[in-house]
Amino acid sequence: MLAENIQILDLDATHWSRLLKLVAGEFYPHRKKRPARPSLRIIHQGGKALKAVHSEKGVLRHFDFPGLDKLEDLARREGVKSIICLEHGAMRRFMHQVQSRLSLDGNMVEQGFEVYACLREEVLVRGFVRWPIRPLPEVKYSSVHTMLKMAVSALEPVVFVVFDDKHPDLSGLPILTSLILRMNKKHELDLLTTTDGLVPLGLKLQDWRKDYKNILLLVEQLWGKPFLGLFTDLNGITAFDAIPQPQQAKAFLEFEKNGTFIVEPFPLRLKMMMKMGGLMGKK
Amino acid sequence: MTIEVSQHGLMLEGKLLPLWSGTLHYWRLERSKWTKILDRVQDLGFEVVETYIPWSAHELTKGKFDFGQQKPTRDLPAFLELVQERQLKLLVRPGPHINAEITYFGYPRRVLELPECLSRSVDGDPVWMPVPPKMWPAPSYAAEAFYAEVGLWYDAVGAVLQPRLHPQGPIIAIQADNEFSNFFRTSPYDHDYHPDAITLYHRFLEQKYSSLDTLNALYGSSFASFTEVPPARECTAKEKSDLPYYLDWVEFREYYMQNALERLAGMLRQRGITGIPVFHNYPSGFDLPPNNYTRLEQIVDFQGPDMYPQRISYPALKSLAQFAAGLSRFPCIPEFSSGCWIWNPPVTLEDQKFTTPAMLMHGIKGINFYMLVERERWYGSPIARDGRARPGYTEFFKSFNATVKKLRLNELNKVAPALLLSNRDYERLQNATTLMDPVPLLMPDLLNPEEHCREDTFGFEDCIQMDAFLMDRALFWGLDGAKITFNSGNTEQPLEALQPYQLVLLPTFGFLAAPIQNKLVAYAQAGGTLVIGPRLPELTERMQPCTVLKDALGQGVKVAADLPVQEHSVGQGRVIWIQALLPRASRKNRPPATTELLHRIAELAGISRDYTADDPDLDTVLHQDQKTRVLFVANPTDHPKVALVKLRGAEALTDAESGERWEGRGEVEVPMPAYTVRILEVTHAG
Repeated sequence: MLAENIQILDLDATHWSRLLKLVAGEFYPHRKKRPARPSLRIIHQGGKALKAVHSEKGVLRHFDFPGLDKLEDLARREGVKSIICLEHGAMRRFMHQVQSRLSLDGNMVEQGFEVYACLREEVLVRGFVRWPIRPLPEVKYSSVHTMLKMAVSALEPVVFVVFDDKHPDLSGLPILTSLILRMNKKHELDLLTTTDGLVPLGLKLQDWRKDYKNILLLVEQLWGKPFLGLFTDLNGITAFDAIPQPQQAKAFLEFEKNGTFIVEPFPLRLKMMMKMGGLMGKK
Repeated sequence: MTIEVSQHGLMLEGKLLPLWSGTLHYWRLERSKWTKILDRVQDLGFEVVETYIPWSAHELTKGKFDFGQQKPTRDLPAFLELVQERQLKLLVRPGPHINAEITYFGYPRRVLELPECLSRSVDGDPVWMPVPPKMWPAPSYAAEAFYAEVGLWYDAVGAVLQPRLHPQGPIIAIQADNEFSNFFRTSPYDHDYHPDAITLYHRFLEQKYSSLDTLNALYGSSFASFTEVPPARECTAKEKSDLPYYLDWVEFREYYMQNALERLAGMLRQRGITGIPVFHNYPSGFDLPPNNYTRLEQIVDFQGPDMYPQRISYPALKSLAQFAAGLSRFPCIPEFSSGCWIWNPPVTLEDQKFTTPAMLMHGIKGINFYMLVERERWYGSPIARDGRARPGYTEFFKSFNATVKKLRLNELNKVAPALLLSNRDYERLQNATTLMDPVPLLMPDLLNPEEHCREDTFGFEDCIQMDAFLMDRALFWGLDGAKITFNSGNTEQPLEALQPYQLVLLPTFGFLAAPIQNKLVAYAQAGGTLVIGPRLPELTERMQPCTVLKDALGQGVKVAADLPVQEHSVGQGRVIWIQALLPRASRKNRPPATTELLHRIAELAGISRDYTADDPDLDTVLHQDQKTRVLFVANPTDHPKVALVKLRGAEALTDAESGERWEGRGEVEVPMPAYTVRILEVTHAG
């Protein structure tokens, strides 16, 4: 779902780097950094380890490998929480499968699903083994694409803005971060931008709770009538992040009701999906 | 050539033109904005600009091109005119590969749909580039069909460029292709196995050995023709006698790259692009196979690694600049981050403020900032695509340009008394014995060899492919800990490249090519201090007996109390043989015994300790010429420090940017905020 000619432009550098920080949780005081869990990477062949690298101890030369069926014992012996084993030769098999199946006709997500299918096959024949074992579910591109088509309209941008007086952007506006996305007719992402492109059109902000409408108007002028707009501030997004994930759909609706989030437009189908998600979260 | 390359920049009619330049992509900017944008670039203080010229953007159908007749943004002649009107100079990069974050990297899609043009994997499949926004099959740089297609593009673009070369026009240099690295896939058994690549392999073997008997004797084979030699598909070597076949295969992959660049540079020259330098850039910073800086610089006039560092990657940045300074006739960075693309970790203005002077500090004498002007798929440049100046960024670039001009930083010489060499044949062995084949991208370069090479010894006393790396790192961090400024080099460099250094260091193991052994002995005999070890090589890279280095050593004298190290007089110089693998070292772990040893070696080599800072985390490097001395001091940590700098008597240090001044006799304290590089002019006190 990534268009070949996707336009990625007018990114305010502060918006983009802060967005990545937001996703990584670096803006949220309640998030604690998890300590890295020790792990082991092994390349093996014919029951013997060719290479073993411990995340803390480094390379373990002449490593005694007990085999793929005794990884739990091995984890205990080496004091690690996870192990990845790669059979020497598996990567070549995997690459052969991937490279012989890929086509220029599909978009990158479609291509990615092909790669994932090959990965699943290699996991099934134990070329790639991860302990603790986590099965890779079968996921089809067509199913995901259909869901996306149901959820989001084509050619109508989705707008997301987080305001914060303490973090002005490159244009001096009180915007912590923003993101504007749009799908083309084939429901492939064909636009990724920020509010920076609206500045030459005269974007000004005094009170974000009123002026968010300016953003919607300018987005419409530049990229088409928005499908969805989500506006909040750093406090709002921080409070939302603190809510456990299963309850977030319900919380989203409450935040929208109490004005923590301004969601405009808020398409009915999304509202319904949120309500269903809220009910499932309750269970 | 009317333009010559010097170690300080380009010489235009005998006048030095420093290469502080920046990139803009005309075809991605509104035609009506070009004038305003070029004015902004000049306002920042730049005299040189750079642009890619994408084949895919100009080709309409096979052999039919648009240079502005149909679409104003493709009006390359008009862009060149505007550059000329402003008396700016221009670097051009017409590909065929340009990357530029364009889908298909600048190749027209139709070329990627021609099976005869495509690179082949070890299993004969097309070789896919996993880059957003779409994966695509990479072309083969051995395929005759591909070169025929490139010829059409070069015919068209050459006709536009040729009349606008210096001195008639603004174009002062041209890049042949871009970031050659087998498409970031540097594993030796990945690709290219295109039939034309196999033909090239056989040609390489024939050129290298001339006689089939020599090859058969070396490989233990009985081939009736060079064309019978199969390409290597995986490493199954067991004994040292098996290694030459694999070392040759890796050397061929270097040859493949050299052949491609030589051919493309030749194709440009055939189209009248003459009188200006041809240059190239590398995505993988280090001089590892298939890169071979020394041989490539015989093909292109100047070259350099690209770099997009965050400030936390200071050690990698420093190491890269040391390589460029040690290996290039003009140490420059053809692409240095000014902003970023979204698939990469963000490079911020704060990063740039630290990393840019840090590159100069460690020996870079020319930088092309990529990009000066934002465009689709790029952010964080000083000029927005509509011509707006980005606050903060503008001030930084103005200040940078003013400082480099005021102090003539490109004209000063980095004072580096030591050269740390790596041995090309050990690097080939590392590449040949990788377990990370056929993917991932650049993995053999990004991981240390200990993490990806086989652990076999092949009958040697050591696991050379791993231990050579450990010894190199021990010497690297030992030099760093002992505050000895150094460059990095490679054993392929000629003797003349080693001679300016007081101290040359090279990890040595069971084999070392005879010409290299001879070169090292000659260096020591002429008065240099050579550090080797842990082994004295007894074989060549072809596994034939050779003890030139061993035979040159006379009676040894013990150098260090705690380590088995001996000094041997050789001619007017000396060889210091470290007889054991040094303790493992890293930035966080610099064993004191190694640092002490390097201190002692520096004394023996007569290396001065002036202008060093006492704090182990702080770096200093002196640059100078007859008139000017400039001391760079770096604090690469996230907390402020004070540098106690050793002076030569009563001297003053003046910060070139802030104007702050510190005076002292013998030493002086300089406050160093977190992540800072100060550029300090050194003068007499008072």
